[in-house]
Parts: sequence; structure tokens; C-alpha cells
Amino acid sequence: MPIQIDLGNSLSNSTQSAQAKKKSERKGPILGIDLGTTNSLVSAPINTNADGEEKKVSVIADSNGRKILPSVVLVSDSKNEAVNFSKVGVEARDMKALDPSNALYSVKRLMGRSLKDLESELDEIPYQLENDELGAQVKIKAGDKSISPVEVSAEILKTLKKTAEDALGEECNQAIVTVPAYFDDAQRSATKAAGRLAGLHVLRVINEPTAAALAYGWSNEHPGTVAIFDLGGGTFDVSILKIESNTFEVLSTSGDTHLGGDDFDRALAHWAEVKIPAEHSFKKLDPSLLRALLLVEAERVKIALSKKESELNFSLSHKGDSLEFPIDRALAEKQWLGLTNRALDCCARAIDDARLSIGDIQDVLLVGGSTRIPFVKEKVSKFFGKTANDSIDPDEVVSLGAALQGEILSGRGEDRLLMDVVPLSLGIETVGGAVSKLILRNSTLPVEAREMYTNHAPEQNAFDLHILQGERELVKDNRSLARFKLRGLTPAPAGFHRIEVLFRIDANGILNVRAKDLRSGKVHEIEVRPSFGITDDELMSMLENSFENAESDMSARQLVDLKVEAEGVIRAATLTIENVKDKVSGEELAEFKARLVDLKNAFNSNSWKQLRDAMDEIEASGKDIAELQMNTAISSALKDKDANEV
Amino acid sequence: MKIQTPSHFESLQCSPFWALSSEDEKNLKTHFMKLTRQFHPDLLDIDASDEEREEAESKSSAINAAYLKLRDTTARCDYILNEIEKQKPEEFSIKEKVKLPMELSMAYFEIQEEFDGNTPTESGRKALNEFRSELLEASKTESMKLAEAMHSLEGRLEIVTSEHPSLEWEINQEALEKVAAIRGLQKYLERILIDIMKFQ
Repeated sequence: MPIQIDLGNSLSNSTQSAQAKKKSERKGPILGIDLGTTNSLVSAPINTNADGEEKKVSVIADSNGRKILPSVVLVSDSKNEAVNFSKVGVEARDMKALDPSNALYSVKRLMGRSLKDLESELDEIPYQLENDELGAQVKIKAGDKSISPVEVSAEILKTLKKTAEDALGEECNQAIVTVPAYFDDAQRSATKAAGRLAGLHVLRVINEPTAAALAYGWSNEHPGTVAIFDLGGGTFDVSILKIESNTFEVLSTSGDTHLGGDDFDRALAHWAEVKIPAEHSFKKLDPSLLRALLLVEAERVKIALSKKESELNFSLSHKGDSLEFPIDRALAEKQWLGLTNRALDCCARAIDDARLSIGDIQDVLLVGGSTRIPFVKEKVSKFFGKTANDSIDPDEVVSLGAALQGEILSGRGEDRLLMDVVPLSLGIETVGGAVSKLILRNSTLPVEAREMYTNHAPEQNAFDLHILQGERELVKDNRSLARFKLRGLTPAPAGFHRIEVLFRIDANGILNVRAKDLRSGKVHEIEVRPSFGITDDELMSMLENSFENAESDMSARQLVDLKVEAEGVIRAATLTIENVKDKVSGEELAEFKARLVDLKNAFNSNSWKQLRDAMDEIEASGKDIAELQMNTAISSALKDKDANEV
Repeated sequence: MKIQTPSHFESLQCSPFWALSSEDEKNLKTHFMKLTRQFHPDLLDIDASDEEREEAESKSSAINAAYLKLRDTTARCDYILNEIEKQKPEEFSIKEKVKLPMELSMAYFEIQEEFDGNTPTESGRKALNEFRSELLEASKTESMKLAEAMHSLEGRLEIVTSEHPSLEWEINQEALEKVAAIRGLQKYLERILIDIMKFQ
């Protein structure tokens, strides 16, 4: 459903209520929460001496001494309407095998997504999903209940909140929550909503690799330009930062949403699967059972090889049947080479986007459990030409960084400042299905762009804006983020209204749009609520495709631009024929008319070169017959086009 | 010709003299960081009012947007040309009457003949590669020329008054046309580079 902004009256779809902060209600220190796909952690500044003078940011353990909370929530049956969340964490995770349809895990993948967004991954999601009333966000069907991923995440956040409150002995209602760098508007908004539901005021959502960098560089032992290599269970992020005395400046970020430890398991499973002899009884097993057996063994082998064993057996056994394939590190690494290279390609792109070269990177910090694989460490070290740094616990570093951002916001950061970037470009649709980029990816946040709009006819009372995210040149290849209708313009001569639209991406990476009628001074503000969320997959594959397709995209874009230009020339030429027909010889005029026919044909040929040539020719021909008129007319036609191109 | 100081220069509180050489681009960065520290919303007191936050965010957003446009020669050139054309459309239009140097023009023609609809020969491929390197070489030369031309355009910009918030720039017509011509040729070279990709 398109969002409508009424310019006619002062009805304002304002975000004031969402921003209403009652300062007196702020309680306790600001918590730093890593709300992970598999595990979640909470950190906070805690006293290191009795009088509470000195504080140190640390990960907080629960009453059982556990720092890591598995991101699993168990739903139990209840008579009434309300959903009953009976267990969160380890106990819920242990029920995964016993009560699979009620033990909800990996819900992070569902945050801010609709069924349509998840289409391609439905096979991998173990529970049933349905769309909510608006079709904007999926819900999980558990028994007769329908549960939103936001509610499930809120249960995890509530548990972490309680862990922190028990340890600190006071109520805490403020938090910084981390998200993957490539999370879009809808996913960030959903994360904030989960916080609110858990009774937390989410002061900021920050990017996971950036949080890691904050933890790493806090004591300023490592100033310089660093790369954060974050390889998790399912996703990969890389960020390039400049750390300078007390400033943490993100220069660029890149990643791959389908590249993580799971893919390393799949690569080994595939290697083993093709080795099973054709006549073997394993070939007759249910394919999904065989797949599960292979994946479980693949993970075991990966971990064993990552520890100290250099050679072992990949063994499959089921109901008395068994098979063994010897495997060593070298063989496993051969299967992983392609995956590792994909991650390194992202690194190269991030370095390029940061306008640096590999030699400029002074340190590489490893984050995420999958960086424990020696081969990954080795390849990363080789790529960057220096030993990758694994000195910080890859599980804890993100939540610690989030708590440190809390220190900055609460004024205890000793003047430290974090400057993050927007992961994808933001643009609006223009004529011909092209995208005009307003804010480029890797722009420092917060950032804004302004566009002016006017009415093209007296009776025009509204206009549409289509906002897109992505790197491609044409609308159809980018992700639609939101559609706006600015309406309620009063009748006025064409070009009378002057409406300035301000697009601002705030420090959370969330877009706000504000329209101001410069004639009346009325301001209309709206926080973007996209009609559907972008998928991680789409986001990253869009980014990848933009590099692969840059060439054909640019050609397509150039053709669109040139056609706009050609339309102007055709108009001008037609006008010229009218103006000069009595003043030049029939021969010259016929020649010119022929060139115009050629141009019209070239226009329909969709060949950039043919069109360009035809335009050059008619221009040359025009010179002979009516240099003055033609040049004036054509140059004014060209002018519009050039302004667009800058 | 006089134009009003383009808004991004105002946001960064700087005169064009900030952006004259690579040394000055470093100074621009230092200046940008100083302004960021002055206005960034994260450095506000936690009890700051919503109005103060909005003000800080607005300033900070404008500063970031401005820095992106001014931080390197090409981005700044496009921004200034566009701004001049917007303010003085009757006096200046970025008209790309680009003429390729003769050798490049001939080579381009031959490449098109060779590849249009034909199966390329070994010597055709070789010629294409040579043409490509010539284009890249020409682009590099134009970049250097642009830096120089921008230096003289920006260097000749004069600030009418340094106290009034809405400054005016005096634009030197000759320098402006030179910058526009070089930038036009640069863009044309880029287009040909993309155009010949389809032959590879």
C-alpha cells in the first residue's frame, strides 16, 4: 500500500510519539545486546571495585554462570488467547529434537520479512509460516497460535534484560542492539520493535562488525586502518575502519548473506555424497535423511580438522550400514577454496570502496565462530599480507562493542565517536525506468539528500515518489523500499509549487522522508514503513549482480539517457523543418528530412551506437541548412539531458 | 558571472580555497572531522531535548552529504558545474561538444568496422586491446588536466564578503569552459570504454 503524505492540510504523519522519551523513566546502565541467529549475549559496564567508582564493560553471565544464551524459545500450549513462552535458551534448545514445531530458533532470519521475501528459503525453515494481515511480516504457526518473529525476539531480549538486572541488582531499560551490516530498514525497525516489546528503550541499532571494531580499538592500542572479517554461521560481513585516537570511522562495508559455516559443512557433505558407490544401500535412503546424516558428520569433521587432527575418517552409519572415507586437511581445504575466495572477493570490493589498497590495511580482526577454521585464518592472512588477529573472543566481541557504544551515548565514552555507513545506495525512480541515486552506499551516517519537485500542470494535485535500494541502474533490478504519494496540492500555474523532499538516513540506518511545501512552509514528516522488507539474499545478490552486470546496466542506462536526448533532437528537428521550409532549397530540405527518418528508425533500433551516429548526422546536416535555429534548438534539448547526467 | 555559494560549501562552512590541491583535500578532511565532532548527535548530553537532537542530526547529515560531494576533484567538479548551470542557465550550459583526438577517432571507427556483426580476427582483438589501453591512457591524462583546471577555476573564485553568510562566487569564464571541456571529454572516453566492452 503506498504511503500518502497530504500536503494540503497540516495532517502530519509524525514520528513524535515514537520518539517521545520520558527521561525520568530511564533506568540503569545501557545494555549492549548481540541478538544473534544462533546465540545471544548481553554486556554492560560493571563495577570493578567496591565503591562503584570504576567500571569495566563485560559480558554478563546468568545465575548458572552461562554467558551464551541460545536464541531458541519454546512455546507451550495454553488455554487462553495469549501465547505462552515457557522456556528460553539452553532448555528450549534441548527441546528442539523432542518438540520441533514448538521450539522456535533462527527467527532472526524472519525479522521484517514477508512470505514473498522468504520464498527461496522456505525449505530450510522448519516451521510453518503465514503472512500477517497486511502481508508485510510473516508469522509463525505454532499449534493454534500465530506468533510474530518480533515477539519471539522480544522473549530473548527479556531474558537477557533479566540476566543483566539480576547481576547488576537494578532495573535496566535501555539498550543498544546489534544487527548485520546489510540489514535493511524493515529489519532494523523490526529489531527496534522487539526491544520495545521487551520493555527496552533501544537507543541505537548498530552494525555487528562495527561493534566488534569498537571493542577492539577501545583502548586505542591499535590505531590505524583495520579490516573486520566477520564469518558467522550463515553470513559474512567485512568492514574497513579507520581508527584514529578517539574516532572510529567506517570507510566501507560489504558482505555475502549466503556464506557462513553452514556452507563449509555443505561443501564437505557434497564431497562425501558423490563418493557413495551407486549400488550402496545409502543410495536408497530417504534423500532428506541422507542429507541430514551427511551434514551432521560434515560439521563434526570440520570441527575436528579445525582443532588438531590433520587426518580422519568421514564416517556415515545408519541401521548397521556404514561407510568411511578418509579425509585430511588438504582435501577438505580443496572443497572450501571457492567459499573462501568469495569472502576474499568481498574484502577486495570493500577495500576498493574505501578508496584504499590492500597494503593500507594495518590489521585484520577475525570475528564469528567460523573464523576458527585454520584454512580461513590462513587465506585471510595471505590475502592481507599479515597474520590475522584472533586475540578477542569471536563470540563475545560484538556484545561488548554494543555496550561500549552505550558508554559513548551516556557520555562516558571520553569523547570517542563512532561514524558508521549505509550499506546500500538509496535512489528514486525517474523517467524511463531509470534510478537516480540520491545517497550512495558507504555514505557516512547520518546523511541526507534533497530533491525539488514542482507541478507540471495547473490541475496536478499530487505526485508519486518511488524509493529504491540497490546498486543497479534500472528500477526493475533494485529493491522497492517504499512508494509515496504527495497529494493535496492546490491548483496553481505549472511550476508554481516548490516542494522540497528531504531524505534522511539516521544513525540507526533508518530512512525518514520529509516533504516541505516552500510556498506555504508546511512540513510533513513520515518514517518509512516499507510495505515489505528486503531479503538478505536479495540485498546481497543485488549488490553482487550490480558488479557482474555493471557493464550491461551501464549500457542500458546510457541508452535510456540517449533516447531522452534523441527525443529532444527529434522535436527540435521537426520544428526546424517547419521554420525553414520556405528558406532553403528543396534538395537540402529533402536531405534533412531523410536524416530525420533515419534518426526515428535508429530511435526504435535500441542500439546506442546507431542512435548516436544518427544524431551526429542530423546535427551535421542541420548545420548546412539552418545552423542558427538548429543549434539553438538542439542545444536547449541537450541541456536537460546533461543536467540529469551529472 | 557571479553565483551564490553552492549549499554544500556552506554546510562545510568553507570557501573554495579549502579545495585547491591534494594537500588541501587533507585539510578539508581535518576540517570535516572537526565539524563532525562539533555537531554529531552521539556527542550530545544524554538528556538533550528532542529539538537539540533534531538540530544536531540535521547539521550532521548536511555536513556528511556535503563532504561526499566535495572530497575529491571529480565529484566536486560535477557538483560545481551542475550548480553553475542551475543558477545561471542563460549564461552557461554544460554542453558537451566533445571532439575525440584524431588517432582515437580513427581507431574507434576501425574497431567498429572490424567487430560490427563479424567474427573478430586475431588482429582485430589485438587492435581492440590496444585501443582500450589508449583510452585508459587518455583518461589518465584528462584526470591530471582536470585537477589542474579545477585548481585554476577554484583558485580564481573570489569571495565577495567573508562575513556575510550567503557568499557569492565570481566565476572565471575561461577557466570554467576549460573545466567543462575536460570533464566532457572524460565522460565521452568513459562511454566509449563501456561501448567497446560488448566486443570482448
